[in-house]
Amino acid sequence: MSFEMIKEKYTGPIKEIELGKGDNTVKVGGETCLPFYQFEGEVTNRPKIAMEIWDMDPEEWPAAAREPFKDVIGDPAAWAKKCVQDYGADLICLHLRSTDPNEHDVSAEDAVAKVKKVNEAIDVPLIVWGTANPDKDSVVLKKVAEDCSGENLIIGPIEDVTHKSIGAAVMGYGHTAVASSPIDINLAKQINILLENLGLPLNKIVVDPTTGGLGYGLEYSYSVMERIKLAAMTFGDDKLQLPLINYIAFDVWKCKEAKQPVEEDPRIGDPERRAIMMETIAATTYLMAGSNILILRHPETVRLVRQYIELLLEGGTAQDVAPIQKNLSQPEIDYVSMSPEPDLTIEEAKEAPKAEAKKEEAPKEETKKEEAPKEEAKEKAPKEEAPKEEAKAEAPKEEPPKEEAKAEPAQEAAQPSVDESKLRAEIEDKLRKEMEEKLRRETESKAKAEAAEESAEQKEEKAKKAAEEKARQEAEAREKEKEKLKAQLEKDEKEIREKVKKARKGQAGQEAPSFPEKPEEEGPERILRVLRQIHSQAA
Amino acid sequence: MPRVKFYPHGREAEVPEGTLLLRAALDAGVHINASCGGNGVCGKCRVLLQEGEVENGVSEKLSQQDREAGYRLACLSRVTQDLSVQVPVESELDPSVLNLQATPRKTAAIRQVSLEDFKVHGFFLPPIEKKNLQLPPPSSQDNCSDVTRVVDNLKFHHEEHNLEVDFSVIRKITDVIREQDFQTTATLGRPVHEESGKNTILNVQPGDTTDRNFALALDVGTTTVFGQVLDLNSGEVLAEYGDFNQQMTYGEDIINRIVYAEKGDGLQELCQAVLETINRILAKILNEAGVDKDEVSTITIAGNTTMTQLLLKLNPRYIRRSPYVPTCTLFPPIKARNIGIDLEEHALALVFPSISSYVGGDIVAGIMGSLMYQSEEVTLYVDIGTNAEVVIGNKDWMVCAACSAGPAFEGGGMKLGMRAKKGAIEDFSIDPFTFEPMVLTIGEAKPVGICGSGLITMVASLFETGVLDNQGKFNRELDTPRIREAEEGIWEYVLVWAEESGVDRDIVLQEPDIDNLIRAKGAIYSGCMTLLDEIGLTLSELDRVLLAGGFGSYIDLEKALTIGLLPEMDPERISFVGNGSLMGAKMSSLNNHIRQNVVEVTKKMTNFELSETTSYMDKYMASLFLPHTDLDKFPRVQSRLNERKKILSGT
Repeated sequence: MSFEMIKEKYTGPIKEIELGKGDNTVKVGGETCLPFYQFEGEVTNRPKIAMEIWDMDPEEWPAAAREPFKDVIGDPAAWAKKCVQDYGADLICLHLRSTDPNEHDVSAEDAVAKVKKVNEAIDVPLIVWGTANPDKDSVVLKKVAEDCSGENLIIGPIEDVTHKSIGAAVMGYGHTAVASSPIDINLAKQINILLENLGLPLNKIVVDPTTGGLGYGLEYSYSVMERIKLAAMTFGDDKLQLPLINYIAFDVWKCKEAKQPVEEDPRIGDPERRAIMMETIAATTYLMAGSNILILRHPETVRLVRQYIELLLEGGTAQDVAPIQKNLSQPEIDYVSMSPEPDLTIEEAKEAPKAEAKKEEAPKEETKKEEAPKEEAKEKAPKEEAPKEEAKAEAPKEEPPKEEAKAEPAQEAAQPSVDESKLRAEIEDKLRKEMEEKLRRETESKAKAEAAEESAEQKEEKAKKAAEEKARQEAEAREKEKEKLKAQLEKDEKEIREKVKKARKGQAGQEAPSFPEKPEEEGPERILRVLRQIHSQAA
Repeated sequence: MPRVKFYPHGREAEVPEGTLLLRAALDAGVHINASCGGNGVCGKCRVLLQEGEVENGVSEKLSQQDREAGYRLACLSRVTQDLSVQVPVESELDPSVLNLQATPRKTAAIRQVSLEDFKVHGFFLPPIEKKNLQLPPPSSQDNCSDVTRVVDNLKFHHEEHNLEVDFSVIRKITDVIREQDFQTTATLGRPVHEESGKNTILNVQPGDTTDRNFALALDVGTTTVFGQVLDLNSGEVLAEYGDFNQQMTYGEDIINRIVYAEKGDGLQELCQAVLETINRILAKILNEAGVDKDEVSTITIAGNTTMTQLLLKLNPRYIRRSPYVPTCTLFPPIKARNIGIDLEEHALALVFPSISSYVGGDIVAGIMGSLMYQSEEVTLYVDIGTNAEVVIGNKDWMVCAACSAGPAFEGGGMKLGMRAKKGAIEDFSIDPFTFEPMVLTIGEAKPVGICGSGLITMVASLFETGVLDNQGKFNRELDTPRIREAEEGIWEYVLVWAEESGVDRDIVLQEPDIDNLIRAKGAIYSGCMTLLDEIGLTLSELDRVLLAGGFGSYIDLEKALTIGLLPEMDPERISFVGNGSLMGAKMSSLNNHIRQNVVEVTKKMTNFELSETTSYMDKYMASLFLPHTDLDKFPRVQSRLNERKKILSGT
């Protein structure tokens, strides 16, 4: 019989929803499995990226976010067009920021005019986002829905207090609703029920579970989204089998760390890269939680996230993904002056943490100490080695738990007299010795190579080149070593298994160990058992 | 019983003779516009008699011509025979549409243990008994002390042993026994444990007063205090009355009360407040029953842990602080007078034991009083009150949990809430097309407010007719002056216009009142479900549900299920026991064994702290919806709503 992978059976697909109108449509949802679980189902439509634009000059945006759009920032239509044409946005999200009574309190009519303009300028669906001020949104979004009748805009946020005023207009004029709820699965479901009771079909609703920014509540949103997906996919809750939308841009970019200039806290690095990475990491996290539409701000985030989605769906290696392309100049940050004094005490014979702390400073020192490159190189080598050592030390460590997991149930079931921990210790010991030996050899050879370079008294560039070359060689050597180690490990594992098997046979006769079958409990017995458990816990 | 048929609905009800026609209509599930609570003021509830005749039913609101044609006011008509009644409806409506208006009533009337059964099974053993003694006068041959005379008489003529004498008796015995020529009555207090305990001579009275032996039962609730006068010879209830706990002015829930008690003289003030309420109630019911204070031998008190501690003036500070420790769970018999209850010196107060800080004597009383602790059946006992409590179990095991529901069920915390007394709207239905109400009050008086059972019925009816959405918010687009914005953002439904009400204002139901009810029912529902989950039982494994609560004389189960107060199940499995705490106090006054068993029961009970059960909060959030976020858990409500939708969309 051929091997068959056990697959989870899911109760229902996420509803496939078509956004936009005519040729300008995008489909979201439709997946029949948990996020990216293509081995169990189908990701019918890949997650879509919407790019955020504002209907006003977003003065509060940090330079990093403004820079890519500086030519279009006052003109929402041009801005939207640029997002679609230059950055390939799947959708545009027009945030009607200016209508906020605390901002410019722009009228509904003016807002509608902008919405229409943007909608005409693009050939992708348009999300229209209000200010989450229930009174104002009720007026503005209602008007938008009316005046853009039949355009199938995606209109939100619609909360329980506004579900009647906005929801009715969204339904009446043929749009799609963003049902928004404050980070709670029950509330998320309730707003969907309310909208459905109003007459809005569920396939006209996308769910906004409220998006927390990275470091600002992302984990709450993540858990709720996870629960929503599980309720939809494993409990068959049809009121939650809807695509999820996350307005990541707004929540990430408004936080302190995304705006902080380098002078304020140079330790957290280049503000441009920092903010983009924050947005990217939040986005990838939300993808894992099952987001179907991500609303993002920076073009570089969009590129990185799109490539990430591709990698997850089609495979490949992230090494081909280009690093962040900066628009702003690289700030000068003197990390050396900020770095703490190195801690030279030896902890469990590992130098790893110290080496890591000092690693950053290495290139700079190199440039300064031109006259002493040999010494530098010498110093550098073992330091660079250290993290690798750690990595290697970790690699084989991952193996034993596997054995443990396999061995434990067996132990419980049959309790063989073989001392497995002893076996394991033996093997671990062996591996450790091997590694130490290898490390020693490596350092020795490196020291020799460096000694040779030292005598040559070469210039900095040459030294660098050599170092690179060396690194490559090392990498190759390491690869080989790794393979060897792996082979050895596999062999050892096999041996252990054999031993355990033999031992078990010897003890339990021919019979394979089996778990004693639990007898069906009658009602009262079960209750008494549960109560006993409770009491013993209490004790 | 007479049958009443209603047309064009084609529904009927069987009601006891003398029932108000309006009530019969509600029982049948027939809506008749009536907004004055049933005292003939509004004249809207005209019906046409087709067959049969009613008692009364006429007023100046009906013209002579109408009267002769057979028109009557349903709110004034009493049913005495089989009837056929035509209800005027606005237009020619299909009966299926008409019958959307209301669901036939499925009430759980109060199910109490019958006194006869009680006596037959030998349970009638009051903890206080009176013995009539004919003492031999002292003589030169018999010059023992007065006390010895009484004790010896009890020993040799009444088989009473293990006796001890209260000091107050010694003080007065000399005069008392001589007052009626050595005929005297001794009051004996029974010990909790018959074998080891002592019988106490609590009182001596001149003459034979054995036929005048009374007890009081008292339920001290967070919101309401109830008292009962019991005849210890017959076991009958002679009078009963309830009133809001005066402590309400110091905070609506127990947490606020405890906070208040921690400040300065707070404890003293709270104690005084509840004592005033208790003494007022006792004076009233004693007067009503025609019983003198000195004829009362005992008072049994049941209350939640905090109420008990406040009454006994025990510092409640640590009840609200983790790990939630009460001062005492088992109380000795106390002289009622010593704790400030206005009774004679001999009257003994028996206080129900508690289990934990949040599972108090009230629930223990309920379990004892309903005899759930003797039953084989796996029972879910729910005490609906400000501090709702849930118990699951049978005679072998029990688990319990407390969930704070707030005072909504007792008519507290509402704009126009009131206790279930005369003038309280206790029943309601609404016309789904005109949105005109049908209200019925306790005592058929002019409406003055809304009581707990009325609130449940209202919210359920308004929800079923689509006047309320799942969140308990009014549909603001409906064409009726009865739904209006009272103040910024707060909407209300006018039940009774000022001119028809018994108070000088419109009687309204506001959205915050409904929010309170939804929170209250959510707390109870999630409490039940969490407890079931924790012990690994499902609803279908429950044999029965006992519902207790002091919110009225009945509960409309169908309505309670509609709002999701209880998990949906066959209404046949649910019975209503009324005020469980008061019932327990009463039973304990009639059966001394309960006092013995109660200690064992409290030991059997496993308490769950819902606040420390992680799934509770989640279940609670899911319950804050009508009937519940997970509609699949309420298939019957769901199908009824769908049915209604279908019919309405067809018209």
